[in-house]
Amino acid sequence: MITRANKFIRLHLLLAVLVALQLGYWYKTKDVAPEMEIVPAVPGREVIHAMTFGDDQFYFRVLTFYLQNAGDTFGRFTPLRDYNFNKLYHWFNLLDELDAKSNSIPSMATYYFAQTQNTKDVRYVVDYLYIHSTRDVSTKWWWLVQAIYLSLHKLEDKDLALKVSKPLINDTVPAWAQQMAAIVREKRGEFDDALRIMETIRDNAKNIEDKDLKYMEYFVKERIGKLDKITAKHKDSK
Amino acid sequence: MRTNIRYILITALRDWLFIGLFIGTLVATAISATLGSTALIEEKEMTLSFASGSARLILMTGLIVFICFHIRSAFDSKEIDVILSRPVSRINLVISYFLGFSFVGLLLTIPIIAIIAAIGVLNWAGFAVWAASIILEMALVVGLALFSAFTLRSAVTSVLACMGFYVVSRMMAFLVFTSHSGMVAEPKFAIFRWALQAISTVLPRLDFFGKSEWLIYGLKSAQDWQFYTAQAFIFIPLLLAATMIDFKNKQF
Repeated sequence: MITRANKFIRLHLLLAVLVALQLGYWYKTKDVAPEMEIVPAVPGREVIHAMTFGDDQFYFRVLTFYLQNAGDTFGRFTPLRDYNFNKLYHWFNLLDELDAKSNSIPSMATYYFAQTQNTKDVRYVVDYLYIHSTRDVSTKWWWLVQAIYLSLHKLEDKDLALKVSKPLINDTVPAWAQQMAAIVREKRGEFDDALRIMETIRDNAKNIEDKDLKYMEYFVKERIGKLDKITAKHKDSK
Repeated sequence: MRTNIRYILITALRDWLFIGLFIGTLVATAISATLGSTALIEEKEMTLSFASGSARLILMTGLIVFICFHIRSAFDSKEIDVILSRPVSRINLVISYFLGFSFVGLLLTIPIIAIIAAIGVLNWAGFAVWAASIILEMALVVGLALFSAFTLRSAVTSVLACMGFYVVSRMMAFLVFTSHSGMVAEPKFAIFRWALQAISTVLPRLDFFGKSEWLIYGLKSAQDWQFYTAQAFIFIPLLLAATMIDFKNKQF
């Protein structure tokens, strides 16, 4: 017959054995850590839409927050050169599905991710900015201007800058931004095209400010040396 | 009826429902403001989205738990029997419970709307439509919780069933989209397509309610408020009718 004291000892012995097991388990698994990737895997379109639970904007903001802090969570500080920009590109476009009006993603792409030390990756940012902006150039023209800057000065790719500058020739875009298209052509040595763009801006713009007109005159005269041609053309038409 | 409504109000006060949900909403808003302040740009938009989404979730969850447990305890303690021993019809009882819980829900919703307004209104038309949709969603969830609580025997089962209905109803847009997608059009997926369509006919379209984008960008069109208003005015009476029919046939 088990006495009360025996029962007490057996129970405490059992507890001691189990605690020892737990300590042993902890010792064996203490260095097992989750594999933390920098840029998380990109979910599918259908999964994203299912997970919104009817509130696209809420989930968009959650994922934006998630992406903004990707790689810098749980005590990590990751240099931008280690980020997978292909994955980031797909994330940017996926989030535009939830909210293409917001400027959060293009800001993040332009002012943060484009500062990567691995300059080749900036191509992904430019490609994204082009897709994002051409949905609605009249409100998103600023990001095309940023894309031109990144193409010309970071990537030094004038062909890419040319492609990105074309949608800016639009009378809903401010005159100075439209002039960027002419500047790109001037940088490529395509002076006649640059002149044609300036003339298009002058003819179609609803309202050109004085400073923009002055810049156009300076550009045509000093940068592409075509002021005489315009003056002669103007005299002939009279 | 008024007595029952007053009793529900007293129970809500006794259970610290108002204080609990209000504190929960304040904490959620504070966390939203902290997270929103870390955004690169559009801090207010992020704060508004987080606060409105989390507050809505807290409100609906709190109401579901409160209603399901209240009704089940009323059955278990024979309170329902006592009420029915008076000249109160079963239909009147269901309606009085609905009105009572809706009133409590309204008292809980008003501070949430005020908190969102205090964060800052970016678009007044959108804010008004969002506030109205939250109130209607609250009433619909009250109806859903009542139906679950009256038809199921256990409080926990009622809560789980109601939450399941809520989640699936919120995902209804996705289910409808899937039922129209190309893959499901194939004959071998016919059962799957019919199942999705059957589910979408009997559950409400809660994805039309409480969209945070209204707070930020305003309305896209009049359909934004028309859809959820029509859904609420059709489905709430439907739920109440189903509850009344089940309750009338119940032997206890």
